[in-house]
Amino acid sequence: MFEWLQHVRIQTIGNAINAALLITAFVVGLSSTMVFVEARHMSDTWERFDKGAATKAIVLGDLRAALGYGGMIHQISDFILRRDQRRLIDVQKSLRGATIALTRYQSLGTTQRERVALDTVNTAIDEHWARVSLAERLVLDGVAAEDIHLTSGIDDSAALEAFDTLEAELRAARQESGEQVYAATSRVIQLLVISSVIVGTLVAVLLIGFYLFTRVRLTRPLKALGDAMSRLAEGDHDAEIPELDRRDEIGAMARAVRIFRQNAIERRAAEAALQASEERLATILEIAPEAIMAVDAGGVVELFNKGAEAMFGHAAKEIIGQPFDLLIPMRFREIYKRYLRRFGNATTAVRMMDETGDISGLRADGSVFPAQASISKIDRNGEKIFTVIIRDITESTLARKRILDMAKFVNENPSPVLRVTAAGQVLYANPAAREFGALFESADLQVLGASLATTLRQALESGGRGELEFEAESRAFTFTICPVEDETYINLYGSEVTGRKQIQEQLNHAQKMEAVGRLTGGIAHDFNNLLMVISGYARRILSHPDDIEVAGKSLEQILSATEKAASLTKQLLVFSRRQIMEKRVFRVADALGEIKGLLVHSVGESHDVWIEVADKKVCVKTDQSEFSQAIMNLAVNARDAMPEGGEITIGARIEEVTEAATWLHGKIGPGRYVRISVTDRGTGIEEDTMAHLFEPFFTTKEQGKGTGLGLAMVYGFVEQSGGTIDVATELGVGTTFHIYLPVVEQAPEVAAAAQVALEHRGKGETILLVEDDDRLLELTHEVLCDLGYTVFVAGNGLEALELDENLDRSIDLLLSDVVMPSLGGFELYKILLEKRPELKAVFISGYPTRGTGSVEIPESTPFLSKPVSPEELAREIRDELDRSGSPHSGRGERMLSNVSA
Amino acid sequence: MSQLDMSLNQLKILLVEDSFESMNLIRNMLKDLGITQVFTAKDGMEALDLLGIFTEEGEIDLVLCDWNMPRLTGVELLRQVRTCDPDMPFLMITGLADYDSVTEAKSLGVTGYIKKPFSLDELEKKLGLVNRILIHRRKQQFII
Repeated sequence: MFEWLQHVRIQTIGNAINAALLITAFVVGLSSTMVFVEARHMSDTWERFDKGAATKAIVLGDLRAALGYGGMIHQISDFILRRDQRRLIDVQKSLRGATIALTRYQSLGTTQRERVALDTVNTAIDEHWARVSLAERLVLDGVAAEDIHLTSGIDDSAALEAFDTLEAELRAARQESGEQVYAATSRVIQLLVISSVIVGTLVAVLLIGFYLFTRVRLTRPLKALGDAMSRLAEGDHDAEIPELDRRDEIGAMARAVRIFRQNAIERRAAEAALQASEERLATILEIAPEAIMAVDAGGVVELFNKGAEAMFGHAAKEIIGQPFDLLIPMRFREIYKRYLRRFGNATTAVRMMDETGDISGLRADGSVFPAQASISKIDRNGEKIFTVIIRDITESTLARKRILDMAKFVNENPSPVLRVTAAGQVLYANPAAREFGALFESADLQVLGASLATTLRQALESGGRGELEFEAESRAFTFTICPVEDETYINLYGSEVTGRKQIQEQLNHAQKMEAVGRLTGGIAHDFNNLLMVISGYARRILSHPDDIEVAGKSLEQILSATEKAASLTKQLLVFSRRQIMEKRVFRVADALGEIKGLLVHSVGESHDVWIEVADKKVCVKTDQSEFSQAIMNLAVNARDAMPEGGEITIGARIEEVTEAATWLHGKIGPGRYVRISVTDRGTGIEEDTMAHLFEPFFTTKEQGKGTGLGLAMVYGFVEQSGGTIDVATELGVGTTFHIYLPVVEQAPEVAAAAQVALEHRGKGETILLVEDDDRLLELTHEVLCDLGYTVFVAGNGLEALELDENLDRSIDLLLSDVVMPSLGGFELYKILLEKRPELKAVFISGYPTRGTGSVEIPESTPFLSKPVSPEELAREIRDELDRSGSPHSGRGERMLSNVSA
Repeated sequence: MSQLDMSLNQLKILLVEDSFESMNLIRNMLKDLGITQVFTAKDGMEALDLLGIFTEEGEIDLVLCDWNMPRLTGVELLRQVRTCDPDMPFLMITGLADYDSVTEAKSLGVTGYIKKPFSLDELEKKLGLVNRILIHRRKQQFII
């Protein structure tokens, strides 16, 4: 029923008690004041009684004693009778005493009745004084005593009555005082009782309240908390903490106990975790494959795990407590001890004992093994403990030695071995390769770089092997490219092929000489024929000087012969334009058409040459002059197979090579190919010969007739062109060589300079050609050469300036691209004009207008917009060169509308 | 050449070279040519910083830059330079380079190359050519 008390704060209770105590103090104070007032009242009453009635009673007694009525009369009588003076004095004394008492009585305050009674008494005293005086006089006068009758007839009743009245008054006054004192006493008692009751009640209520409060609010929860704390202290963390959701001190204490329990639970969990961790660590320590041991500062072993037991062959109990010297070969003991001392004094906490792994351990059986040790130190109560982790590196030492041996093996390889990234960064190079690198450094980087970057990237993408050739300082190398699977690098295994290369070049040269010889023979014959015609008809004119008709016919024949001779030289020029494998797109039909005349001359008149091209537009991308020579070589072979003469058929047709058919054709992949077939009706090729057919210097021809290089060249050309070659032959029936070249779907690139009209051709003038696009530069260069100009080329403005500096001869015309970074064509022209005021110029631009960027080409300056046809180019150059005077002299600066400033 | 020689020593060159020895060598060569206004950067980033500082026209006449450098290679530096100055003469010093980079440098508008190792004569010749361009440009500005 007092549960509500649980929600009363202790402070509230304290306030209530304080209030009750105040009320109690007030009640006690009030009742004390009232008691004090009553006591004063009683005291006053008593004082009044004491000073009034009580004194009066004494005075009245004195008065009664003084008067003593019967006595007084008796005294007077005695005096009269005996004449004793003393009696008289006694009477007078008594009467004076009575008067004094009377006066005193009167001074004490009197009531009306008292005053009346006192007057009566006073009268009696006066009567006595009168009698005494009379008696004295009578006595003095000697009146006989019997004659003196003074005492008779005295009436004392009034006085006696007055005395009774006074006594009655005194009694009344005493009673009144007594009653007042009694009433005050009663009130005091009443007050005391009431205040006692009130105070008692308050105290009782307070005591009961305090008891209940302490029991409900303090004792019970404190006991519960105390119990909980005891259980917590005993380790019972599940102990129920009373739900004291109170805002007072007990509530705070309950919360503190709850936090304490939470902390205790957490601590227990942490302790459990710590214990588990310690156990785990102990387990790890035990199962670690490394030897782990602890050594104190004196070198005595304190810990020796299972790994250490296995490694050293000692049981832990044998070693623990022993100096660690036991585990170290004799000769190292002093060194290691010194090391430990030094490390102990050093500031580092962890250190590898020997980075090279050359420390040694001693097994129980006396054997020594190489090991790696890392050592750490801890400070335990001022004493240093060293933890040593030892790894047996016998295996890795052996492995390292093996690896070093293997590495030496590659290092000792006299051929270069490289490992490179696709970007060309060298990851590893053996000494031979480094030597090669020194060569490489001084080689023509651009050409090398091109083949390297492209080939490496392709190899890495395809994952297939490839070959790479390098030439540097007259040395040649072949590298086998081996992309490493799942890696981003490529291994290059090289070998020097300088010797082989030289032989190859000699072969090529010899082959060329042979071809030249063959050609010379054929052409000399043709030319002789033509010369014969010319000289013959010329002589005829001379011998018939007057015959116009003969002269006319003869001159026609001569003209015809010279035209044939011109055509012959043209073909010869086309064939002789020998360069390094210059791949470009051309039509097979055109190429065959160009060499047809040459073929006819080469094979001789006893053989017919038929050229059949199925698709006149089909294009291939390879070196056209090599193509021509290959066809020539095959044709010559065909002729040689038919010594008696016969038909040689050269055919070209498109063939789709499927995946399944690629094996038939050797190295080529599936795709569209143009098949060029050279067929003869000759003797056929014997089986023995077939095996060596494409080998250099292999020939079946008579001594002096063949070099054995023709088919080797054909084979090399076809391979380099990404094609293949195969042979179909039957003894006595004939042979067909099939060349497969990949078809390209591009337009032919060859500039048809030959078609340019004669009047637009060059007359040996010098042109400085500047173009930053390599491909265009090459093409334009060729066109200009074909047109009959002497051409100097520059890849950019600075190269042009360089050429200008180094060139002693005059330059007639600058043919330049307009837009080139760093130094544009027009600006270049202006600079060149300073030194060569006669220089003319033609500009070519990729932009259709004369104004590009900050430069505008003046209207008077020849300007061509790309694409430019050879005819257009030839005409423009010719026109500009033929223009009289210096077209730009004196107006260069004015025409310049450079707005860059 | 003689009238070019006269003003070669006026050239203000930014030399970018990561090798300390090469840089010293080239600087001495430039000194031999009478060129003393040489600013040096040990890589492309530093060169860009310097170029950023010398943006005033005429502060740097020519960048002479090594090909292979850490942080920012010569080609990358060239690309950065060209975005803000298409005409700035930029000579690349090449030792070892691959075809793609040469092609890229060319398409970005490298003014020219100096092949390592180069003689004082070669350097003088190349700088003479660049100077010829610069003289012409100054004249043009003067005329206009």
